[in-house]
Amino acid sequence: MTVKLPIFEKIVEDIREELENFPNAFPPRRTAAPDPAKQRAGLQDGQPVMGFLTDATLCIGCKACEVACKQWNQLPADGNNFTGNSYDNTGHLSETTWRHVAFKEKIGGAIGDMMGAGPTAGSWLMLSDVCKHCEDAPCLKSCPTGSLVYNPFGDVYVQPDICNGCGYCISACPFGVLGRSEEDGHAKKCTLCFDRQADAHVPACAKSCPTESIKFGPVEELRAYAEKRVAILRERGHTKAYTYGADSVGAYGRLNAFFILEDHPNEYNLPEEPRQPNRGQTTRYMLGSLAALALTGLAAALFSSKSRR
Amino acid sequence: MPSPTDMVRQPAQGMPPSGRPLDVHDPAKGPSYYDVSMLKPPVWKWQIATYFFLGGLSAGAFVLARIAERFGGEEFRQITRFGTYTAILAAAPCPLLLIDDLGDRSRFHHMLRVWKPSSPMNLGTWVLTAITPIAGAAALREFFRHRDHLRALPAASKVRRLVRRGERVLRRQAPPGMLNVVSGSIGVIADAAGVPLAFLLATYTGVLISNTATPVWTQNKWLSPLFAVGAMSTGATAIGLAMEMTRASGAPESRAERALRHFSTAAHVAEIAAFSGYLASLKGRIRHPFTRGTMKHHTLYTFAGLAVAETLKHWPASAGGGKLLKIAGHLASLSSAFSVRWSVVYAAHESGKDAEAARMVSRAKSPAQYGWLKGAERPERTAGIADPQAISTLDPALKINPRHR
Repeated sequence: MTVKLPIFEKIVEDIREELENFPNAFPPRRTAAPDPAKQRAGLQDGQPVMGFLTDATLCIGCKACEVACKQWNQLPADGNNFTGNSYDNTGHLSETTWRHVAFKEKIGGAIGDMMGAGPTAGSWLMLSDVCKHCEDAPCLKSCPTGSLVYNPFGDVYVQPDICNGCGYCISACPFGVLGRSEEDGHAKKCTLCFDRQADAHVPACAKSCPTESIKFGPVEELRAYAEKRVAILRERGHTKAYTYGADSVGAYGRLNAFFILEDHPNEYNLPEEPRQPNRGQTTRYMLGSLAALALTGLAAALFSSKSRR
Repeated sequence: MPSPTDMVRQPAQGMPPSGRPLDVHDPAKGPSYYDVSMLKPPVWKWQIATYFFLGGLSAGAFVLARIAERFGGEEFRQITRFGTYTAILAAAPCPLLLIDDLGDRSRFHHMLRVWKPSSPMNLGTWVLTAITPIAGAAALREFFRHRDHLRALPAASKVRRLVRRGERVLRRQAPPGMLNVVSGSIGVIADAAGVPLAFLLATYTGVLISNTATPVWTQNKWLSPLFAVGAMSTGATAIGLAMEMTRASGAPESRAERALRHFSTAAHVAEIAAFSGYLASLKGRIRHPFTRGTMKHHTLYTFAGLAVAETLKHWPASAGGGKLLKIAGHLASLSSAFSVRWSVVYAAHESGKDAEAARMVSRAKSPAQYGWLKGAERPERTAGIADPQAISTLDPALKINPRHR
């Protein structure tokens, strides 16, 4: 017969609690590996996944978003580079550029065709590029420290106090978004203005966009809007308008920061079909292990005492 | 005195009015954004290439040592002995290399704050953390089982006296049979846990780099077998080298040496097959860093080094004495394996900057099925100008720089 004494139960409970909290007593805090599905389910009641819709048909290439992003996030300058690539001296997204306005001088293409100006008609393609905040992000999957997580707004976020600058996410990202900062050695990328969102502000780039080419909002609403917008564009003669990343592309999941484009994705330095690099990694583990195992079997046969010379 | 209109910059001969070639694309290449790569090259440098080599060597030597102890008799003791020492010596600098490579070196332990096997780097860090003490314990066990080392030390040496005293204390204090139990358990742990961990250590590096978007690496099935067979090969060669260097000159080839020689031949063949398979799996331009780019000499050296290693091994002179020849052969084999890892890491630096290669690996396999083109005409691959010569007849001002073609 067991005697239940409340005081002992209390002590046992206290000890258990202490033990559970013990790993948290020392930095870095021990946390479970980020599971995208769980994290998504962990969004607070009524909190939708937030994202961007960037409309290339509205972009005028003013770079207000690039400047606003730099100012708000206090990003350092990229240096005085002259690329010679039209009005784009930034080149690509990087650790110091979280919004990048692609500025392309193009001969022919969608707009030239539409205007009936023939093959020599020139056009400017402009698009404000940004981290795509993938639903199934390869950077997040590859991160060995669990620094990359889905934040409470469903966006991909690098926790600066966790990142150790291993550089794996930089190679894993099929859009080349991430970079390693020279200042502190950590991976840096667009946070989708986590801090501004937390205070119920619109991200700096969307706030500054004068043509509303950058739209910010719940991703589901943005997708519905994009569908309507593309239909309107086509009605008006932009027959090649389409959404990029609103639906999954092959093996690659949807993008929470997606685009309306008119030309081929490669014109804007976007991949046709980004690869999901982690796919098939089990097969690759098996292949490697089998190769090692085969040689080990051979070694066992060669070293076996019973075999004659 | 030139008039103001003369001051206006005139386009150079053969150049468009802007003074530089317009971005008119080769129709075969398809559209691009000024040939700026959409990917970032890896940030990993010599530390990682060296780690891939040493980690693999450690794993290979460890596995061979365990196999020799379990399956080989007394004649194969040397393989166990040198293999066990090689494993811990090669594994020891690995954490330092990995820490040095980090952007923030004080945060290496952050990789151990989560258990996240879906990330090969996290898994690999755990594997390395687990196998290092096992390899260390196995090396200590080996040290105490083999009295030769102690005998080799001068009788008055402090180390020898210290070890002897330690042994005496252990003998006196430990319950009878306990040392045997400890030694046996270390052996069992090394076999049951150490060997699978060593397989993972040899394999995960290849999976790690294949889980990236870099064109020479992305989803490549040959990388993990390449690194795995390389690990076994370098492990065997390192053991062979140690045995060769400690061999009494003129002594006939022992059974262990003979077995190791046959094994390394098989491993070399597997290495050549895996590296050839890897190069063949890279299509067209993606392979260029290895065949035409900065790593072409490394590729050549890899194949040449393995061929030299095999030739020297079977050279008639090396059958008798030929100690130097054999050592040279082992070094050629090891350096080839190192060259493979070096070229695989640094080819990715070149590949990550190659805009065309990045576009090639991200081509849509069957464009019709994709949502992003649903209902829309597929944008043309070509930039609208099929024949660049046609432009100049339409507008003489638009001449295409032949250099740009």
